[in-house]
Amino acid sequence: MLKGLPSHFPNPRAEFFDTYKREADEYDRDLTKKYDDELNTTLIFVRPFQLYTWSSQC
Amino acid sequence: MDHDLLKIVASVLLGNVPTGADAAFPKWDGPDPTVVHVQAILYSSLATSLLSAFIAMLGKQWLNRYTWVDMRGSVIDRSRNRQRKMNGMVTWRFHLVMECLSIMRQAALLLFSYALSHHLFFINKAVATVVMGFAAFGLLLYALIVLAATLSYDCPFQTPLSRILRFLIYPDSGPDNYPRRLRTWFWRNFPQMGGQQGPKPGDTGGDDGSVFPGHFEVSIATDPLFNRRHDWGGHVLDSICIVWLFEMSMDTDVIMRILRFIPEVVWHADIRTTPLERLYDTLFECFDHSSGHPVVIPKLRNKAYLGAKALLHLTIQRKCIGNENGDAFVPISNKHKRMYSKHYDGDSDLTSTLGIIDCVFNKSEPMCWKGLSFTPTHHAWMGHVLLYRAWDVLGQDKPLPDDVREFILHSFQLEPPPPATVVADCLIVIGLVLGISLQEDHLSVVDKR
Repeated sequence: MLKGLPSHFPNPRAEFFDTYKREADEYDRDLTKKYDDELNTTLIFVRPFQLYTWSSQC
Repeated sequence: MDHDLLKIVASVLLGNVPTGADAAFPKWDGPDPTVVHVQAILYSSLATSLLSAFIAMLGKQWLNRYTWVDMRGSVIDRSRNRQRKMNGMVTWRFHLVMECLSIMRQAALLLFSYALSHHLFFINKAVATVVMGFAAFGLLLYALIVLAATLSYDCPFQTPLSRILRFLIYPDSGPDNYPRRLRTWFWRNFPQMGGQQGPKPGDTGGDDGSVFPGHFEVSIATDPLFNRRHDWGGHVLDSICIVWLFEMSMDTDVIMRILRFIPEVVWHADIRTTPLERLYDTLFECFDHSSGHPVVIPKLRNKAYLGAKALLHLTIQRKCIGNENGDAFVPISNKHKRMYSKHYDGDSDLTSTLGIIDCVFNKSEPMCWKGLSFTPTHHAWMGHVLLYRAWDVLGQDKPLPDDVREFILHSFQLEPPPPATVVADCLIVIGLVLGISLQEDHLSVVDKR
């Protein structure tokens, strides 16, 4: 929609930051998903470790 | 066991030397030393994995804080805030901390494999051999992967450990290049130690943002022409947003918006990174080089014009108030070919911008301003940017450049007269020639009426 209505952005600064926000949102979504997956992997990895090590102590 | 031992000691002290069964030294009835050893390693493995879980939970909090969106302020404020958080992540090596989790997981696995192999070795050697074989294979595979990734940056099997080793072995090869940055910082701050060139005379070099660095001595004592507070910090954030977006996107619409925004920013000395080379390459792509002399591809005219305008604005401001080291312009000057052409009949805005770019990069022939007819917006911008050029050149005790002089003469001879902002800029250039001093704060005011 924004591409079709360039006249809505007479101000280059507003136009730039609108684009910036869109790109940044997309980037941040990918970034947080990537790190979230990494953190989940760690938490999943720790669980069986805990179980095995504690069971071996008993 | 402790009780028996105490009884023997007490008896000896009282003079009753124990005999027979009482004198038998008590035997160790605790766990086997091997078991203690294995347990210690297993516990350290558990502790490592628990610590990584702890950091992972903290990491989730950090990510939540990063993605938390401010509900107040304009899009510009929110974007700047986001870029500040992004810079923080880069500066504080968030990525490295996350990679440490992988190292900790690998360490926990290694300790676990060792403890298991050690434990099974004393229970059943056949079973232990199988476990140790797999553990050794895994370890060997990991060592080979780390070795390959350390030796070759292009190797796809990169691990955190290989990156650390690579940094230790080839410190100059990484993108961060800490040794070179450290050397640059050292020579800049202690030029007398090695005879390197220091900052220009007259630089105040302030980093606190309150005093703007780079004043020429002649201009310090003047009264302000315009009482206006400049948002220098805002320009720094804007420039970082531009550089980030320029790196991230290849989309033409996005590039066009970046190009349109660059002339709105004042590229002062506190701005560390500029997209100068990327900008030049973007402009270069708009030309057809098949005929020997570069000519703008007609359908890319708008991109070429905006790119030329952005490049000229950025270059002149960095030369003038950016305190930019001359080295930054060398790569561009080396590959720059003359862009000015008379092919763009009727397109005075594009022609004049390309002509000034040639002048700035020392590839100019006398520019003919006669017959050029600018749009009011372009004329105003050109007057503003040429004032920077005049201020820079005159500040170095050189004569006024021909292109600026011709621009002023051309503007004053126009009928009807140019916009009032252009007249104001031209009069200020004349004032500079006459010796009236000016400050950088005055330069950045677009409308100087």
